[in-house]
Amino acid sequence: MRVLRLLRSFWTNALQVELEFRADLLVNLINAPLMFGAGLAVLAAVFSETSSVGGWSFDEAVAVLGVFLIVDGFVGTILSPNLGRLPEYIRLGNLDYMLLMPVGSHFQVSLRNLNLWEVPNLLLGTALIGYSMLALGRVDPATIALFLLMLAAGLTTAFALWSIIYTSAFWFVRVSNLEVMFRTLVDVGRFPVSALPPWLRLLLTAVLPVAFITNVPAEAVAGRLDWTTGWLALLIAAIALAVSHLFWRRAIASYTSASS
Amino acid sequence: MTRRRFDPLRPLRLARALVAHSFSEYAAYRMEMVFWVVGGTLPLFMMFLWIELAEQRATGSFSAADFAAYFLLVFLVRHMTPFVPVPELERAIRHGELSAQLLRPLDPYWPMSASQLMDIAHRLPITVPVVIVGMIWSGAWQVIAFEDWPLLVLAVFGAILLHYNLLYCAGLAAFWMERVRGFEGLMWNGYFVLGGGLAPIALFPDLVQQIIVWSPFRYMISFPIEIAIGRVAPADMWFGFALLTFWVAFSIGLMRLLWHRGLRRYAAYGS
Repeated sequence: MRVLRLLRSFWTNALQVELEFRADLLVNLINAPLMFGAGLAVLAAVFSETSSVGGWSFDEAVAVLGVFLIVDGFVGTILSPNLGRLPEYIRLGNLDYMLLMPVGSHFQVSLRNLNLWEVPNLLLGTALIGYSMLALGRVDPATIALFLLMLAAGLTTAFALWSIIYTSAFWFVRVSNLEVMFRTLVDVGRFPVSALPPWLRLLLTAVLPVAFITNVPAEAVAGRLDWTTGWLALLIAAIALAVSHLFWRRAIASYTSASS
Repeated sequence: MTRRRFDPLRPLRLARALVAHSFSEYAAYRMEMVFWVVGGTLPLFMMFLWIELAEQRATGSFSAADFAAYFLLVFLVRHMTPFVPVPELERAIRHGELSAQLLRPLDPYWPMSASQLMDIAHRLPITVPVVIVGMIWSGAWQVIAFEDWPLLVLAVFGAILLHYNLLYCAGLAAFWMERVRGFEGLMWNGYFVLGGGLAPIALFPDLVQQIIVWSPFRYMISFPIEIAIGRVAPADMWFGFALLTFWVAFSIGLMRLLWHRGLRRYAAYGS
């Protein structure tokens, strides 16, 4: 309960701050449709050459693009305005204040802010999922519930990866470009991973769980999800979250503050 | 500003000092290079995806070798047009670091350009071998139009100028807006996704193609590569270079305009 109350006060405050940055809304109102259109154009380009990509039809691949847009929106609303600012917090010493507060530091660093202006991406992504479900004739409560569950697992994994990447900011001072690394991998995940050569598929499934972030929720939409993959997605999310938290504790333990 | 003695060699000496300074700065942040290189591998992932697709279907306008050549070059061009100005300008303007830079008898544009050039130069020892090995391994070198190299050099040069100056404009928006990182996303989706970073523009739906040809995005990635793999018809070459020139001139003009307007505003709230 305390967590919920904290989140409410965090986000009401964040909302007030965001209202000061209205220009961001304008940029995102251009960016979201551009990204949506560009994503569809690329998908159309891929399907202009072939009728199935890694065994996925166009309507099914649309779901992958939809999940990709939702993940990108999640990065913009939650990850980037929080963990993305960690290097700055460390460099400027803000982190010291956060550590003094009676709130879990990992929690605070991860969920303090909320960037509402990135919501258009989330909406357009959801619209694509909706289209895909309609086109495939799979609008039923079970599909939707399974999709939401897999999406939650995928977003948790994405969060954990971000947390691990940004926690390394304690050791490398200039890591703002780490985000580019993550974006690259998720950008690959806008396509069905099964279209990649086997060794790359293995890399994106076993080594870096990108497939579980963008592909598995779409599999739930398209009815391609098998039990093993589903359970694995949940397991990976839990493990990744635990690892990211332990890594954070480890980093904080060795942190000696900006000023001392 | 005090009057200086006329010194014809000043630009040269300045350039040398700036480049030497940027070099040592980049050498100090070698670790970051690793992240950049990994982060810039998206075109290689795309190459494998497209080669896989090309091998599965019977006919198409691009062969597997075409795709290999195309995306290896996207990888190379992408590493020649990195993202330096936006975060740096945002920080300098918002935190007032710009004030100190303005005291120097040199427009901050030039130190940043030197930094950008060194950034590009630092990547070449990693990216060029990757491209050469990739070209030989996939046989993609056979589709390269080597005879057009002077045009290619011009187009790459134009692409760097255009990309750099447009990003500089986005960074200068920090004079009016608190946060300009949003423009990075805009540029990324425009120049990389629509500019041909994920799929050759020639494969986009016709309507999209017709819009992209007029937009600046094509000239930041796709155009030099289209020349390199010999896919620009002689008649289109003139059109392409005319638009490239237009967009480069536009970006530099806009950059100067924003700089002067912004500086006036900056002085107004800094004093």
